[in-house]
Amino acid sequence: MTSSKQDSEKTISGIDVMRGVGASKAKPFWADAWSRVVERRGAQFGLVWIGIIGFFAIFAPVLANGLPIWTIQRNDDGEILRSWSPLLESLTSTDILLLIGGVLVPILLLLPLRATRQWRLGLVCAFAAMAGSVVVLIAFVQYLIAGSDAEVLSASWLPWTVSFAVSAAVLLALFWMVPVRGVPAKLVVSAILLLLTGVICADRWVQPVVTPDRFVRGERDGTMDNIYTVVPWSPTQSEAIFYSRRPTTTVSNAYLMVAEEQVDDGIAFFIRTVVFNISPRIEGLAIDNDARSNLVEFVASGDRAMVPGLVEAGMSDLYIARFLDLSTGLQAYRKGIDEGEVAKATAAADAAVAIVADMEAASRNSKIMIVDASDELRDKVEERIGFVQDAEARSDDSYGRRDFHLGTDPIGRDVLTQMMHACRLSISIGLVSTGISVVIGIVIGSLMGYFGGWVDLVLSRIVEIFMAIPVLFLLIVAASALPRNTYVMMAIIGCVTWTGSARFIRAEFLKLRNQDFVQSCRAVGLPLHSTLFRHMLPNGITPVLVQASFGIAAAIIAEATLSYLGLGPYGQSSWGKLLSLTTGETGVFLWWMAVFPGVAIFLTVLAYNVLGENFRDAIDPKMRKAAH
Amino acid sequence: MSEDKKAGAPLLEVRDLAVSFQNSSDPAGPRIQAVAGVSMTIHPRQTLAVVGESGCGKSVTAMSSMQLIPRPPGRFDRGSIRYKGADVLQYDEKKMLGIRGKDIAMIFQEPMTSLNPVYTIGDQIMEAVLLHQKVDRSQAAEIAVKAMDDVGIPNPQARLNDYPHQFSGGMRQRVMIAMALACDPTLLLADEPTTALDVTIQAQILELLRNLQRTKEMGIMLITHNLGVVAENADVVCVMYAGRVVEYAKVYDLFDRPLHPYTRGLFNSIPRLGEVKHRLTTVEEVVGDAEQFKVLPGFEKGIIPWWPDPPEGTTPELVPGRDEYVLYEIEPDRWVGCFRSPYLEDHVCRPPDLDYRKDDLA
Repeated sequence: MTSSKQDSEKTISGIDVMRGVGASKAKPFWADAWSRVVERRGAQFGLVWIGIIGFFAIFAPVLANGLPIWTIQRNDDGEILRSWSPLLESLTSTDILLLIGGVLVPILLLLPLRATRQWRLGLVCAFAAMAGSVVVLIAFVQYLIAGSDAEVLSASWLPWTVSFAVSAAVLLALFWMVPVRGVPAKLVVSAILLLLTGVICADRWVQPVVTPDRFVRGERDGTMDNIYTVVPWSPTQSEAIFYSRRPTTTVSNAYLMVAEEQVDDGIAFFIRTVVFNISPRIEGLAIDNDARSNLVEFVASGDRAMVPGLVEAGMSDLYIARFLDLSTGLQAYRKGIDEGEVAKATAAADAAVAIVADMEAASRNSKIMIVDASDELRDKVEERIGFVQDAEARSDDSYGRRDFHLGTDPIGRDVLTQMMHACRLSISIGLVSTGISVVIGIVIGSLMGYFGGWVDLVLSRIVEIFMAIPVLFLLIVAASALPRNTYVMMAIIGCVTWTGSARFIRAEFLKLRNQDFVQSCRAVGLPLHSTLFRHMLPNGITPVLVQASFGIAAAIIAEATLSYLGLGPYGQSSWGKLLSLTTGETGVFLWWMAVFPGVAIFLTVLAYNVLGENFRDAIDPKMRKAAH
Repeated sequence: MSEDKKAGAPLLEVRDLAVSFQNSSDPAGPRIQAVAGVSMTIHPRQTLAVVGESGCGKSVTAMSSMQLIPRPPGRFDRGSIRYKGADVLQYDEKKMLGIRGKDIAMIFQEPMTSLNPVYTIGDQIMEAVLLHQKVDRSQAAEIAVKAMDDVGIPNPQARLNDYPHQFSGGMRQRVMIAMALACDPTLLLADEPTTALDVTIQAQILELLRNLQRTKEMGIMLITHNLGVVAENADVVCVMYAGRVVEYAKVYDLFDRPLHPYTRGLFNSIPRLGEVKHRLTTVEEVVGDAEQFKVLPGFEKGIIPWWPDPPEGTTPELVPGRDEYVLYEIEPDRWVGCFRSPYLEDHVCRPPDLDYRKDDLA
């Protein structure tokens, strides 16, 4: 890379170099490649964004949760009954394992320990693979036994037996991954980790159900003191009054809006009932709906500018005066309710009702409807005042001051919380499905490339068959036939999209197998797996890694599409699912539901694409030469 | 010498080896006969130089000894390669893995690409050591350092953790040799080990190989184009052309009195110090000259040196229905590739086998 510093004039002679003077430790191949990637702007952006998503993927359950981190329960006398953390209680085993990992892994990797960073990374990967296998296998066992006896399912021994059986199986299958020397040491280290995993999984056999409402109520009653996290909403927490609220609405705002809407609706209902039910003859207007709407508008607004129009339409001065009075009366009514004065509002209602009573109804039925509406206007004064006062009271307590920073969806759930929780799905669906596809692709591609001949012929046909499968349609079909969870989705995407990496690896291996160092591997007597995966693979994997980062982006898009179509995994927040709610049930376009998840998907896909692009540029020697 | 012979059973015996390669996508199509009946023998502590032009089958013979020929397209048509008496061509891949690197090692001609750029050279040497010897990593590292020291890499301990790109070509070739020697092989197949190196380094490496050979009782097959290197290092020389041995003799015999026209052609094309020549004689000029074919003792009896297109007047009368080529021991311990004329029809050749070392003379 170019630097502004001037080149040093000092030199080290060749003889000294031979003696080891000025020898600098060379960076390992991958470390070198990595540093070249990281110094690029685009890659930095991509990594930072993926880092943010990854952070939320791990910490979202703690950062955004409707349950308090800590709660103190008191009885009526103020004595402390119980002091506990509902949030921790509600976490799933996956949440807990990720949290432990999310805290410990950066510490383990960043601390300046004696062990090499590469070794520590190996340890982390081994642990992650083992814990991940346990979680997935337990989920699978739960799916398998879901239909069996209720007696068995509720037995207290079941979680522990299954958890430890699965942990033991994983121990035997994967203990070799731990980078510790000697089989006994490997077994001991992995046993400790798996014991911990098993205990956590057994303890959180089913997701504990703790509802947030309890704590909100408790706090209002004064029986609980709660400490909440940064975003105090659970992804499923909703109330009818929160439907489709704009960003930065607070809870008390929402209540106030609902209260006002109710008052407005009540008044509007009254006006409409009156206008549509009084006798058209006396009214003196041509009987059409336009004229009636016009009149409704006139009463609601009390706008005198509309009077000439009404006169022209043939309405008598008497009626115009009456409607004007009605309008003023209703405005007084509105004001009375807003100010919370029952007497004033009731008087205004009485006055309005008196004016209406003088008008002739169109029919008997109409008369009854007008009377009913009049009664409602009078009777609901106190209730409506109650609404408004209630909403105003909300702004004082902590619940009322809570903000929906990014608004709510049409079902009344906080968008920000859902977006944070969706990060995990987004990250995992991309990484896991692409991981599966890359592993399959590498194994099959390397066999094709190394052996050639009939192996290549047969496997190439299989690759072509898989290339013909449209992933999205397969996913849609699978959504109807298979259980709709993330694991199935990841498996399907992974098992269908490996063809790209297989073809890349095949091409690379065809090139590599004639290289001298591969011949020399064989001449040294290295076994096939070592030649293939230890020596050839690192030399040929770069195109696959580049392709993988595009694959991750494609997997994220596939998941978003599926969720948008309403075929995504059950019980999981997802950006695609949020997008699908952009037009709520009423058909109103909610811009915040489109913008925020849309931008998140866009940035994530962009981040992976840019990362792949930069990775390719950094690795490709031709591009490197051009850059210099 | 006579006692030696009992103890010194041959290390590698190549007998009538024929290897062919598929040339077109059609398996039934004509195949390329890369090696068509080659025989040679290597004894412990002996250097057999295999010379000949590019494509004459030198490397294929060496690679066959380790079953490194990709099959298909390659195929062993006939013959055997016996290592310490057992035919390695019959070995399966698993058995072969036990021999490669451990008993038979190979040095490739291209040092720039023969090392894996992804791993440190220490890793690469140690991997082979760990594979073949029952040692732990630290012991393997010691062996690697020792091997690197042996091949004259300065400061081996520090350079263990360097990557191939940090080495010059000569150093890399040394690493290759260190890698091949780290497991104490009894037979070393050196496929043009010095072709890519400058003359100084070349001399050093060959000197090194000679020393190692003495201390480790190692047999070496030295494949080269360089006749100077042959004269200096070889005990026995095998001259090959078009997949066949044309001449096989002790090194001094061969250089004193080459018998086959092709061998003479090779020697004539070397510039000599002190000799004023307008231009060098080409091999074609020699093998195109009928007189050169008549020099061979026994020409009148019908012993004509084998050559793909012999000049006029030397066209032999061939035994119908049999291979035109036979390796004939024309004098004791001297073999020349000849046409199978009626005189040689029933001749059963003693396979070329010379338990001879230059050092033994001293």
